[in-house]
Amino acid sequence: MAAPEAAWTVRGRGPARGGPRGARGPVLLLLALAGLWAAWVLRLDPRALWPDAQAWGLAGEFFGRAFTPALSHQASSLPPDTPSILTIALRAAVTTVVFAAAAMPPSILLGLLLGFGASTAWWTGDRESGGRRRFAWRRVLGPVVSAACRFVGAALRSVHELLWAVLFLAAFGVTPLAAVVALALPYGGTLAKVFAEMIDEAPRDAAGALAEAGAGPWQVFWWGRLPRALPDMIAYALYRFECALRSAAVLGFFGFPTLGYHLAASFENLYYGEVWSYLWTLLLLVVTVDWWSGAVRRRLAV
Amino acid sequence: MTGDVNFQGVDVRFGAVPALRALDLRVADGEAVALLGPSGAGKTTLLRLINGSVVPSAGTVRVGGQDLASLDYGALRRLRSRVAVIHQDLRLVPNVSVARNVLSGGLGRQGFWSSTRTLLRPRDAELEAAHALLERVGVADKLFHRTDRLSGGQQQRVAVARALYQQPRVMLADEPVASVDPARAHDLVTLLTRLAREDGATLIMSLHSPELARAFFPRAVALRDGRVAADGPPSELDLDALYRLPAEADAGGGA
Repeated sequence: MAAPEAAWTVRGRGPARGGPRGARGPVLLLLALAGLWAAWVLRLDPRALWPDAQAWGLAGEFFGRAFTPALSHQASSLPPDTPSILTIALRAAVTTVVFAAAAMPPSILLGLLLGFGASTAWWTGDRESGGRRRFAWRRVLGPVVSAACRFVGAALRSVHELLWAVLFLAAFGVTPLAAVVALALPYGGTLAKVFAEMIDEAPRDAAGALAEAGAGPWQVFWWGRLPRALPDMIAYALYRFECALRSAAVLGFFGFPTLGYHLAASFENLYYGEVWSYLWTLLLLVVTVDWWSGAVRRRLAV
Repeated sequence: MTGDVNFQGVDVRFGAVPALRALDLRVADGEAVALLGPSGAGKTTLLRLINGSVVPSAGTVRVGGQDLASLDYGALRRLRSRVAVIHQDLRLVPNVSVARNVLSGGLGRQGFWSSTRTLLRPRDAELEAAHALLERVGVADKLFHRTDRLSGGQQQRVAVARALYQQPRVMLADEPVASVDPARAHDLVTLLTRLAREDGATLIMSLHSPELARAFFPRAVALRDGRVAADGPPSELDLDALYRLPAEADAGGGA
């Protein structure tokens, strides 16, 4: 009997905390109802997940090849100088890495520019100083620039990289530039949002100490705030590189020579063995990058 | 700039709560003062007034003869660059080198571009100066170590070196030994009083322990409920009375 009573007391004591906590139940119920309603609107029928015999056969054929990927071409007649499946997969993997790697520097640059702009730390940087006599322009311009950067970032990432790709294919054709720009824009927008949050949430103790020692707002930002956010920012950029690999692979569906290009071609010909060769290559690639970025993150760990 | 500090009729209120009341206090250039009193007596507020982090509700605070209320932003920054604060919780950047933490003490006298150059690639002279200070505080070989790889005691010395890099005229230490074992507390107070004496800087250190005040300071100022309750050589003051139960002490002191 004592425990629930105590819970009520704690809840009652802090209205700011108790409010949202008390509303959690109804909100969850509302979300669940919304989910059911959406399923009803879409006429989702769980029975359709149980396919007929023919579909079962197809699915069995596809997943049956998972552990026996093709090591040589499944097509019967090919020109004699056609490279082996493994050569093609390896080349496509390298191309995928190259596309992703080319997209990351502009993404990061965009993310840094918009992220710094969107963060509130650079224009409230001297708040730690307890103070007074701040630069007037900073207080006026800060919120405007910050809101503008947030808006641009949101606009960039609200369009998926595949849609950007469609747009730039129309503009540039199937050129590497189209793919890199299509990746860099939404990735820059995402990095900007996360960078801004990391900068704003970094511990402020050192920044406060520097302001007390006479450092100006920019100096407080570069010396006190940014270094504390940097390890997280680097770790997140590495994670986005991993995402860029998958995106670059999928861009192959539009004709860029990444893994997705070969994947789509083999799939259309029902060469499931080859499909799995490419899928395993992609998996290997992602796992490798994950391992590598993990090693880098451990070195940076605070 | 000189390191004299002068409070005249200073009131500080946080909302309706008074933190300091009609405080008059004068600390001479180069003097070492222990600031005593129970929690909530106003010690931290008094220290924060000296670098302009807290603005008085009434009265004036003068540091080096300058009325803090009359300073514009740039002048306040210049003053702060010569007033070093050592916090109990250090407030270092943990994931950069010791050198960067020490050099960050020089930001107040550097312009933005000059300090950015220091951030990217410290000048040899700066590194030599930082090394010399680390030698003075006893962690000379740690210049290029990552700060959070150092022990707590070593990090505390890095924080002291950062304060010294400010070339301070006034050193403020806010409960520097509150969460430190007695032997280390003794060492740190020894170090800080010696450094302040060598550099001729004013030292104001808030402490919990009357013993340390008696051992190291020629003068103690005791605060209670936002007022100066006692001021003089620690050996002549009944400092232990400060920490008795409020009812007991109030009965004797009154208001």
